[in-house]
Amino acid sequence: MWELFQYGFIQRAFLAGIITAVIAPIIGIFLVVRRYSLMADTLAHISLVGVAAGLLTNTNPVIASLIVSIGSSFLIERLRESKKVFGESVLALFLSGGLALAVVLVSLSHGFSVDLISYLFGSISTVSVFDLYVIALLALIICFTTIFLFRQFFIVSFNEELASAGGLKVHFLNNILIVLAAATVVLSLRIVGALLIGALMIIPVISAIQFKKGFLKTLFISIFISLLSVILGLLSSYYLNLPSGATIVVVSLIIFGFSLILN
Amino acid sequence: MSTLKVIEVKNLSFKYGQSFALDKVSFDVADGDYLGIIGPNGGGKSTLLKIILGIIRPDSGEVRVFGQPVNNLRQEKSYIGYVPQRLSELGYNFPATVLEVVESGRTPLLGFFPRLTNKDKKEVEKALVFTKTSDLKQKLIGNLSGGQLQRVLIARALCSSPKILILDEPTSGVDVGTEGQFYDTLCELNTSLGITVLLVSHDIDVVAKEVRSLLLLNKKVVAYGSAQGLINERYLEELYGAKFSFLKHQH
Repeated sequence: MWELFQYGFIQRAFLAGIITAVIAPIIGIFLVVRRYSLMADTLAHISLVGVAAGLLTNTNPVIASLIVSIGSSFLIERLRESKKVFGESVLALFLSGGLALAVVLVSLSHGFSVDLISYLFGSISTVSVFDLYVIALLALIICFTTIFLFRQFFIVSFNEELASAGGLKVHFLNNILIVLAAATVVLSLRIVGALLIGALMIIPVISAIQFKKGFLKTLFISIFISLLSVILGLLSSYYLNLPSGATIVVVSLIIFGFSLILN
Repeated sequence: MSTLKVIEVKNLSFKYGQSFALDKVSFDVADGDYLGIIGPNGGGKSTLLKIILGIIRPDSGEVRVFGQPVNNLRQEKSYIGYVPQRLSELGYNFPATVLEVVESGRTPLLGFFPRLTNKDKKEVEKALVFTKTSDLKQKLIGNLSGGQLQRVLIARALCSSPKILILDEPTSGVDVGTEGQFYDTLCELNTSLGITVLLVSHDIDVVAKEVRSLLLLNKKVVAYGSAQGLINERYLEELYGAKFSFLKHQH
């Protein structure tokens, strides 16, 4: 098995995969407990607009999708807070709208449909050294921000009224969390793909919740399940010549099934 | 009870759409008081508490806590403990232990430094012991009874060493025996630790027995004064707009 690590693209894929596996549930757990699970999918669909725009304008798609996702995340939160549209409807609006806009952009140029497929479903052969630097930088920012704001995120997720009564800036914390979610989606694009990243942020967390532990233990179990899914998924993807994102998500679904049976 | 005012409410008004939830409400709360707030459903009790806590802003009027406008409070905000009416379903199914929830009461004091110090841990332990919830600390909050959950939320409020404790219908859904223990705890907090308590309740009997001062609220202040002087048929009829008669027990 170890001989496969002699290839540079495999080393990069595993490094990017492991980083993604650690970060996805760290943000995913806050989305799940706040019933924001659909947020990850919405941001992922929006990130496709950035990917398409990046491919169309010859800019790095990861950077382009980072800008589009973070910008849209503020818009989503603003619209949700305005209460002019139901919260779930806002997500549906951006989810479908993002995909539609991406398809329009793709149609404007017919030359990059293969590239786009790799962003939709993930591909282990396409992680460049530059991608890896971007992924590592985003992961460091997400990780340190979450460590510093962990207790604030915890109480805001537990009960916004208690957080607000205690003097926490609920609005500010909500915005930070959604920006971190957007960044997590973008760093996961290469390995898991836009259509499946929502699953990697959510399935390991809901599997871990089945073990009925406290918050911190649930988070650690989620990271372990996520790592297991990514490593087994990437190996299967290489040996069976399958798209990496889909294989990772199928492995995480199997683990979810076991967690239900065990508990 | 001292004459120092810890809460000053002046001409407070708040509207939901076109209808007043609070209309020119004014009163003061003295340091160390045990104030009950009663009134009909929709009478603005919870709205009043939320404005005092700085969760929502009034349309007009002012709330000062510890002599400062409530929205200017920074570190002092941690001196106000809050026990909400009930946790939403979201909070109740949250994957967290009692210890994690109680520790979160120290969060506003920690700033950006995420670790609890030994002092923080001692305060948490003290709050758990006081509310007799030490044996529950590894339990998931979703597995607690209504009474246990309320004690845990009080422990959470206490671990920031509050000077004011605000409770919104804290015993709704709690059995009578547990309710008695709960009010004993509140009484002890008020008399032994000198914490000012604001209690919203729908239960007139309990409020009459427990609190020192009483605010009768139905969008406007109907009456405000000592509890003994206000629990009578005249005031309650004015408050609820219905005939009241007190049943006298023969035993």
